Amino acid sequence: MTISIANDFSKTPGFRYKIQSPGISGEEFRDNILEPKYKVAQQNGEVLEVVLDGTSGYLTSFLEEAFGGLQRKVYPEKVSMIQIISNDEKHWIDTIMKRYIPRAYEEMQSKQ
Amino acid sequence: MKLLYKSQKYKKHSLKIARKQLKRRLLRKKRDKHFYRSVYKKTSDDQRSLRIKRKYKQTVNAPSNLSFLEDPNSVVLFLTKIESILSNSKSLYVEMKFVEKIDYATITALFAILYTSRKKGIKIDGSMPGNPLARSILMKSGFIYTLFSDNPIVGHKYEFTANNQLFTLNDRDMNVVEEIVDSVSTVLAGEKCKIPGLYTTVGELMDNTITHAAENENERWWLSINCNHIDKKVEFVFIDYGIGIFTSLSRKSGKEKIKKIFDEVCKSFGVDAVERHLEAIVKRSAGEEFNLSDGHGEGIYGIYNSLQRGDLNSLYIISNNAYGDIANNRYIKLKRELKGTLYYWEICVNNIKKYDYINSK
Repeated sequence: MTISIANDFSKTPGFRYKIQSPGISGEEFRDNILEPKYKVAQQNGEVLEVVLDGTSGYLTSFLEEAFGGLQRKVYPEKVSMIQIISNDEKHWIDTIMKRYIPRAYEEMQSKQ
Repeated sequence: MKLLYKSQKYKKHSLKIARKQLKRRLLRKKRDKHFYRSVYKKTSDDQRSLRIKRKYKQTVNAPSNLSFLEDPNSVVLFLTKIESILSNSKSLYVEMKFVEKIDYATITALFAILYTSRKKGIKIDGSMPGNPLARSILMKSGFIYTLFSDNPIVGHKYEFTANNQLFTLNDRDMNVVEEIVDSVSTVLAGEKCKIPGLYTTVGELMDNTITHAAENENERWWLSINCNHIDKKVEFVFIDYGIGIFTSLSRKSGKEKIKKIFDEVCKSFGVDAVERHLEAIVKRSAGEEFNLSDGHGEGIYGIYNSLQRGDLNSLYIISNNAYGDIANNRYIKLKRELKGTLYYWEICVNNIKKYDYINSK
């Protein structure tokens, strides 16, 4: 299962919250596209591919709210079976998989 | 009526007024004599400047080095003087005759203050630098023409000249970010395309200003873009006159994670070592605790990463009384505080050539 942010959401991803950039925020991407598709992919035992290419770029807050936010929502479950594809700006892959998602998990753990 | 004019009381009153008027006339004559003696041997440009300057109650003399990046102390002092005069006065003359050096960071910072004040009806005038290079930079920037033009800046974008644009807004707007990226990509890559790091940098700074910089309403940010088509290089100056990074952090609620971490940084380096605080914030070098798991406070670190990856060059950050020449790892504490935050960076063709999707164009 594949999500292309540029084609399925927006070519100009916005800020973190809906109130800051309605229609193109990280919050809306997570709630309307990422989380539902992640759950479907999980049920089917598939890897969810998220393609970051094709947009004008990303703000750190958008990606953190989307992927870190996903982890915070599905906690105590750990986000897995997700693959980030970013050929234009490869650094986002590590940033999301090795920082945003694990740190969000740690944050939820520390709140317990 | 004749009786009235002949009365002693009237004659005494009339004499008193005449004496006052004479005194004033003599004083004015003395001042004029002094003034004209002082301009007698000056050049006609100087004479004109002096005549104009005379009409303004307040004058600020610009230092010889008006480069924000090289001598931030002098420039911050100069801007502080201007701001303090403009808050109390209705007119200001900026004496720039002795300026030898000036850069776009200063031009943008000065424009932001003076344009806002002029819109409020404050009378502003000034002289041009005597140094030909400084004068040429100032003229080419279009700053002078725009400041005194009858056409105000409408909307969020203004083209000073073909090579200089100014974007300004008191809100977040991704359409403006995209417009900036399109404009710059045309210079660097010959057509509209993605510029790695630029979308992130401009968006983060815009978000920081609106989220953190304002005391009451949304703070206005200013971004000037100076394109050098020959060297295929673009200079960016982003400034807001908000409360600054450190004032903003110190005012955060104690419950916020970033405030706790900032307090730890202050403890380990000392409260006054703002230059060390800036370095810690930029590099996230204050230890693992600085890695915020709630994902906030990533903006400046993200811009630093863009510099590390080679997506941009020459990053400078000046906020409150901290100055950082990030690329050269130089951080200093300023003698005076800049009320606000300024970022300067450059992007040239070499920064984007390594990306396949740009090379293929």
